[in-house]
Amino acid sequence: MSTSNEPDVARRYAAKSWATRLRNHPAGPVFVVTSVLLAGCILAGLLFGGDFNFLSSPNTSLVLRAIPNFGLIALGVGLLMIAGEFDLSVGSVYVVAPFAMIFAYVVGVPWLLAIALAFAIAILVGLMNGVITLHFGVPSFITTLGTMFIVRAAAPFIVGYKRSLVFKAPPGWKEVMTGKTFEVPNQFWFFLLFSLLAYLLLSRHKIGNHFIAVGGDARAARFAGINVIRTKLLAFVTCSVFATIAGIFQIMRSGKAETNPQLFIELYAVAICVIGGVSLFGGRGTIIGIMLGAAMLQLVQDAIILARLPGFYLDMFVGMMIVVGVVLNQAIKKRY
Amino acid sequence: METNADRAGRRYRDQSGLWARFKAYEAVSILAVTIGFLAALAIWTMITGGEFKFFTYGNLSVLSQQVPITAIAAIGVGLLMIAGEFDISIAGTFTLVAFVIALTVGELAFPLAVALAIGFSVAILIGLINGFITCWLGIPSFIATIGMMFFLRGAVRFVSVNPETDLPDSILFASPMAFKAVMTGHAGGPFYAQLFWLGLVAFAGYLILNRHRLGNHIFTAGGNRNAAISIGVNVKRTKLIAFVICAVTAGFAGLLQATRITEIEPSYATISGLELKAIAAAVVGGVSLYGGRGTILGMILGAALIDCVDNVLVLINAPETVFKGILGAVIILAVVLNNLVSRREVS
Repeated sequence: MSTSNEPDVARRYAAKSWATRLRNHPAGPVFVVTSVLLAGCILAGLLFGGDFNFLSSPNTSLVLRAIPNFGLIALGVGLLMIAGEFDLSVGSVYVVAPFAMIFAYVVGVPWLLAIALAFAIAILVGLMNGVITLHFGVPSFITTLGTMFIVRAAAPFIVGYKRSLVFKAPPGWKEVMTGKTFEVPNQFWFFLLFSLLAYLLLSRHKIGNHFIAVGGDARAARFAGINVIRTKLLAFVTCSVFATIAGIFQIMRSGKAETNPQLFIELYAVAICVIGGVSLFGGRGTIIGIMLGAAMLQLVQDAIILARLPGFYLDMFVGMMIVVGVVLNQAIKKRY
Repeated sequence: METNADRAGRRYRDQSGLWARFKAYEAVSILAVTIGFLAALAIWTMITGGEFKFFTYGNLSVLSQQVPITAIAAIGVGLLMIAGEFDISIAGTFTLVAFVIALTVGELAFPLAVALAIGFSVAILIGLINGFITCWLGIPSFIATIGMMFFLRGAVRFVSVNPETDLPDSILFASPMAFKAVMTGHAGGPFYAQLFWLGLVAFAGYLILNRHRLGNHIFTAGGNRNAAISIGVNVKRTKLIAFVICAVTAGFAGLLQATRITEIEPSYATISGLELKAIAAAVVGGVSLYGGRGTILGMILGAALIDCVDNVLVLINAPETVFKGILGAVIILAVVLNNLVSRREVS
């Protein structure tokens, strides 16, 4: 499964066994760990159904709704990391762009125009991040640390310090975006769809090649005739747009837009990417890895809650997984 | 890339007069900005006729207790940044060290000296782990310390869980009166003992950075890693020491804060934004994000400036997010300006 949708990788390892291929694939470790974790959760659910009701319908739909939330943000962050930059402002975009959209909708702007506004904000923030980083030579994690707070501070100014806005979406939207198809929440289907789009962009389109090239070696990419600045700008914008999509799904689910900061969501996104085998130094990473990373984080969170373990285990786990993930990524890279 | 030797050479060539030496001093721009800011506040106070309560006895007392805490944390972070690394985990260190000390004194009823030893051992351990992960495992420090930040948040929740409610709870830090007087006592006027401790940390930082071989190593390790290795500097050990210094100053700042308000909030590890404030203070004070440049005075003035901005925003009843927004803008602006300055000096 981990290599079937990566024909170029598969070709490279055609002569080797599937075990070797799995071991050398960027998403190999996360695939193994997530599979074991899922198997363990299912087994525990079967054995201790009453105490650990992992398999109950409310719990599975909870997990399948939670995975897309962080997963969509992580897709954008991962694409940007593959292009060699970071974005810590996604948490603010995730909150502020949908809030502006609902604010516009509530005061009478047509629904589709309001959605366009959210994406306009996302593109603007992405461009701002890109221009500051690329033209002024500020490291991207410092730039986006700054814009994270700027964007968050700008929101209350625009909308007059409201904490939350309740809204009613036009008929049909809520059902399509948050309903269920074949017993699986629609968010999850959309997540698969967007992952497919991200995969097509990264592995089946010229732009994806450029992302990998500028992230892996910007100088070589420039000599090969790639416009590094434009490519990275595009990656910054893609990242903000994915965060906005995630934010819109989130407010559709809760029926309420809030300006409360979602603390550390950007760091969870980076953690998911690192766990999923995206290189911190750019140039390496797979969409399937990011999807599995998102699934793994939610599985752990769910298992901790179901087992009634204290919440601090999750923080400690995330902290350690970031470090372990990076060490593993580098070990795999060295073996290449 | 300007090496340390070039810079030292230029600095000594430029020592023609007092004014030239003053202009060549790296912290001169932040000094000008701080004086300008205070002047603007003074003018504002005069215009509003005392409506604006910045230069009041009460407000200056608050500042003289708050600024040293930020500044001490900023000195540690700044020193580490000169060595070319970051620490995002200091808010966790700040809270955890205070918690450990308070728990050892309170629940375990150990003597204060033992508690302090345990608390600072924890800080040193955190610094060692950060340094080990960064230097020996080759992970960029801001990722390694983000990992440590999450870990410390978990650790703070672990030590702060109230067994009755199962929720994180604040804890009392009942230190002996003498200790409290030494650490945070009132020194007359709007001045408190924290200022003395800031002076001590700053002096120690100055001695390490500008009067000791270690400081040279820190500058070289951050400014030009390859050159440092080729002249025989142990870059890994130098950075490790810088990580430990950073964690210890963060722990010390936490101890000062805990002694003053006698109660430690576990949420401080997550929502204070101390790591951001400290990085901002260092960057505003002229410390280079790429390592190899910075002064202790700049870090202190940067911290003072940022706390004053925070204070002014509180005085005019601006919402909390505005401060963070300004902080974000200031960081980006300061980095852009620092880049321009260093480019000008090279050419």
